[in-house]
Amino acid sequence: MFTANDILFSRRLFLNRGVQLLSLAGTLPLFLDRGAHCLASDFATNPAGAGRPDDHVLVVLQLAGGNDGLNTVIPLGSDDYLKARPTLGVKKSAALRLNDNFGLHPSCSGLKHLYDAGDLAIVHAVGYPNANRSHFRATDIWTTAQPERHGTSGWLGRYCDSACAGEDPGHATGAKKTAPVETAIALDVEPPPALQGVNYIPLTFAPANAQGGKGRDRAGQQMAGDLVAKLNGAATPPDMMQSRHAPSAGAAETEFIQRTALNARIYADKIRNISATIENKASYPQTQLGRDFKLIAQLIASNLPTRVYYVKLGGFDTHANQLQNHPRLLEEVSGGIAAFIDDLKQLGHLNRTTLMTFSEFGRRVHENGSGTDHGEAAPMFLAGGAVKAGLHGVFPSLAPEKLNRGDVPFTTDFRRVYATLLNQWMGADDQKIMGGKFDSVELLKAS
Amino acid sequence: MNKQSIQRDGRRGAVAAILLAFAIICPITAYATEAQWSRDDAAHLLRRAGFGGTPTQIEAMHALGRDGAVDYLITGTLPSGSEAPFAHVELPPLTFSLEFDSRVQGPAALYSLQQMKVWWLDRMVRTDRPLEEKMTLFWHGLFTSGIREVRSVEWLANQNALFHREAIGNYKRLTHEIIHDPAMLKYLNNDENLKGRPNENLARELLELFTMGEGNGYTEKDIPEVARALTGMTGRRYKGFGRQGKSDASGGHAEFVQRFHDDEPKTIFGKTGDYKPDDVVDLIFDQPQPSGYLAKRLWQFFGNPSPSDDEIAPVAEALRSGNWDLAPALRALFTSPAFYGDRSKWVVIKSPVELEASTLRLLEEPSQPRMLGAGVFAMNQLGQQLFEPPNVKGWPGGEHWMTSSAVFLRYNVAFAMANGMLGQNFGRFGFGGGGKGLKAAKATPKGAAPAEAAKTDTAAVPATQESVKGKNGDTATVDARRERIKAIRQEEAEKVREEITKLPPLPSPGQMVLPSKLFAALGNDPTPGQIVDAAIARFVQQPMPADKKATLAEALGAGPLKLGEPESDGRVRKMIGLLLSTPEYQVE
Repeated sequence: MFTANDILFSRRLFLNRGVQLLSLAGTLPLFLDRGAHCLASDFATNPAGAGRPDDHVLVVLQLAGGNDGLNTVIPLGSDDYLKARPTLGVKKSAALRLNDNFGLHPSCSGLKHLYDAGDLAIVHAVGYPNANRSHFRATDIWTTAQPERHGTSGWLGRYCDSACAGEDPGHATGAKKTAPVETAIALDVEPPPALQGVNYIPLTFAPANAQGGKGRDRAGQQMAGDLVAKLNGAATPPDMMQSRHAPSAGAAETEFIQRTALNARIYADKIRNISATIENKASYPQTQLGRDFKLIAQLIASNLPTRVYYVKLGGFDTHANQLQNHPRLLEEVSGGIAAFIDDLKQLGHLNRTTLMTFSEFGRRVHENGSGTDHGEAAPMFLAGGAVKAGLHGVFPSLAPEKLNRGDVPFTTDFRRVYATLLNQWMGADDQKIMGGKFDSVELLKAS
Repeated sequence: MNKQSIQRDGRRGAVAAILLAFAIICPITAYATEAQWSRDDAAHLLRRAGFGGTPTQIEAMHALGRDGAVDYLITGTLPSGSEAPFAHVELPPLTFSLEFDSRVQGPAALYSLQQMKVWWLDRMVRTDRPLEEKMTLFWHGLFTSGIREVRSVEWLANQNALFHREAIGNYKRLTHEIIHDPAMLKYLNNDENLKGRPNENLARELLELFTMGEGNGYTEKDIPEVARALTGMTGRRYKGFGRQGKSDASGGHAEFVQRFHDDEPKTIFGKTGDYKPDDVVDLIFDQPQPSGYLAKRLWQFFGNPSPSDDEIAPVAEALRSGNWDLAPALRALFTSPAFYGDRSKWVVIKSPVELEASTLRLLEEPSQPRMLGAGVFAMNQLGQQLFEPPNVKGWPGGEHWMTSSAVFLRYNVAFAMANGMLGQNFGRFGFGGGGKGLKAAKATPKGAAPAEAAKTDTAAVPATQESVKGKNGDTATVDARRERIKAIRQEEAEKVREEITKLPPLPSPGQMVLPSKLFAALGNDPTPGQIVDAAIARFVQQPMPADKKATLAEALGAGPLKLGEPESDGRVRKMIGLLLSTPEYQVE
């Protein structure tokens, strides 16, 4: 009934025709430039960026709702699979063949192309012990990487907290150590929990909003914008901000809002400039994900010091009508990723980019008639110039007696994948961030 | 349990609730904090248990005393001789002005959904029973259902009517009702939950999100058993449903289909029996968890994001001893000293719905359908689409409302409201643009190839696509059906355009927000400082730092102010717009 395009389209109009006070942020407030922006300052002293770990970028694609892994990476000609999936099962002849034993869903021609080009790695049956089948708990587990307890920070948020212990200059107390705000950017309406650190809060933009439109009354808007900036503390240096509010009930919330407003002003303008000036080299499918990836490619190719990008696609909770809905979703994912990787290759940024997909769980081996219920382990995809292409990990037996409560048992713990990326790709202290040691998986080429 | 016995239970509960309220709560708390009940407390209560109050309304609430004010919000009754804070308002029932068929999810259904959202926002802005609307919103966030999955405006209208009926009703009775609610049954796939082919979606959320809390008092083994007990409960549509103006009874009904029900014994919470759907609800409410679970959710919605066990306990106890009636529980919450303490005051970021409804209330403007339409659209952009929560967990709220993208929009919307421009500059959405927007799916988005627009058009009707593909694979038939649906959609778009032209035009911005009305107490030529102070008192309702007050006075500009004169009023409106664009105004 309401497509993403409909909403994005109207959002753009909203900005074009709305009052749009804040579209034209002025120059950066002084104190921001003075702030302990270690990533930014590092970038300023070494603009080429080559060879330093800060060069590397991680892009995360969340498939929300629980992607049916068994109908994404197909066990070719498996009797157990076809018996459990009399209506939904993909036949060997229809699948896009990867090797003798596995193929991709017919909607995944883009991913098949990447696989053949050596840019795609697939990890079989990723999960964790005692899998939870609740969307929310399972999503919490994958985003916090803390299955044993109810964590409140995301694994990439903790990376940001520890990546660069500069002070967040927007915070009034100045005591909270975390990376500069632009370390991670999410294209979503809400900040993804995976990027929420103990202290870190990611920049979050709905894509069309970030790209925005042109204002009408520029001078008037500039003036109004300046007043709004004053009322939101943007024009006041942080040491003065500290004394402006006597400690009172709710002071923490107003400070938080003040900081959010300031960051929003500055980075929306930066992103808008980038999207207007950097040209993509590949053509993207006209889908939500296509548009998101198009913008992320532009941001990667710009001089932003951002290390993590996050994008989400929902709708994978295919309890019913899976035959109609799942192929469409897979096509959006496959087409979006393929265009993105192609674009980065042509832009010359593929070697510093790794993309990772995850979903909170796979789905039940046995179909329920028209769909599949919540399950356990599922494959993860990694793409980019540095990944070791091919199939990784062990695909478990689907014989009914080998299943875990009817679900695919995991053979690779997702935390091993995270730890590998943190350590070998982001150059971070994986044990500190993960709260323990997880053996690496051979997913990346030796650099 | 049948409907009659549910109602009987409810009446018993109500009697118990009243006895409990008088016997326990009043004597203990009345003398303890009633004396300290301040004007600020009255303002806080109105912001949380309603959508805020004007200075006059706050005074009237304060005059009722704490218990009187709380009772007025819960029951609508006043101590004799006291003045009602809100004048009585007759609110129109929900009606749809166009015929539509939800099976063809075209412009008429979309327009009807928009009408329903506007109808609800209008209630929140105008009602004299704000707690009832707030509780309806609470239930919508707890027992979530969304249009994307339900795909029937009428079913969601019926569900909303249920939430209104049970707004300050009975938790257990509502839970019984909700598993008979077609929208919910569809939303959580219980129409696919059949004997031999259980679908666990409703079972899981019933325990996890609706009554007990994740992993709290049940095990993974209970889920499939509860699912089996719920088999056969499904939603049915009446033939020809969705025809004009039928918002209540005609939208369809729930049906228990015996042949789809699994009659084998089930073991739930360690008890075994041939449980039917309603038995599951009875079993759940025999457990200790639901009272604490709902009490915590109520505290989080009305009080503070992380209530302590000590804060939750009295509310949970009121629910249990009141046989799940909401009135004693809400009374316990709103008379609790912790509700008025520093842990609860100014710690909540207003939801988009609260932001808009309270701002429109405080601007004291008459409701305009075009303005409300734009308001509804803006709410969508701010992350809160009524009848379309992000997922079954509802809106996460709190700091999640204030993303770097939402902050722009919040301030822009606030500025538009304060300047009488909500609906003026908003082309296609809401009811603003003479229906142009409803062609959006066909119009070519800026910078996009025509092919994209065509693709969007087909993508916009997923249900139609499914029914076409599902019934017949034959290409010729498929094409014929697609053509027919296209024709219906075009015809509907035309009707929607006609509807929109019939809506009353918006008054000019200068006629919409009247500073002379808002600040009548200051006389006709107040000083800038007086105007700023009065605006802060009306809108922000908490003190602001001196430098911000100076900035606001600066924004009023030079030259004397003459309220009622267009030039001066324009300056005051701009200042109010800026005031609403502060962090202080975003919290409550």
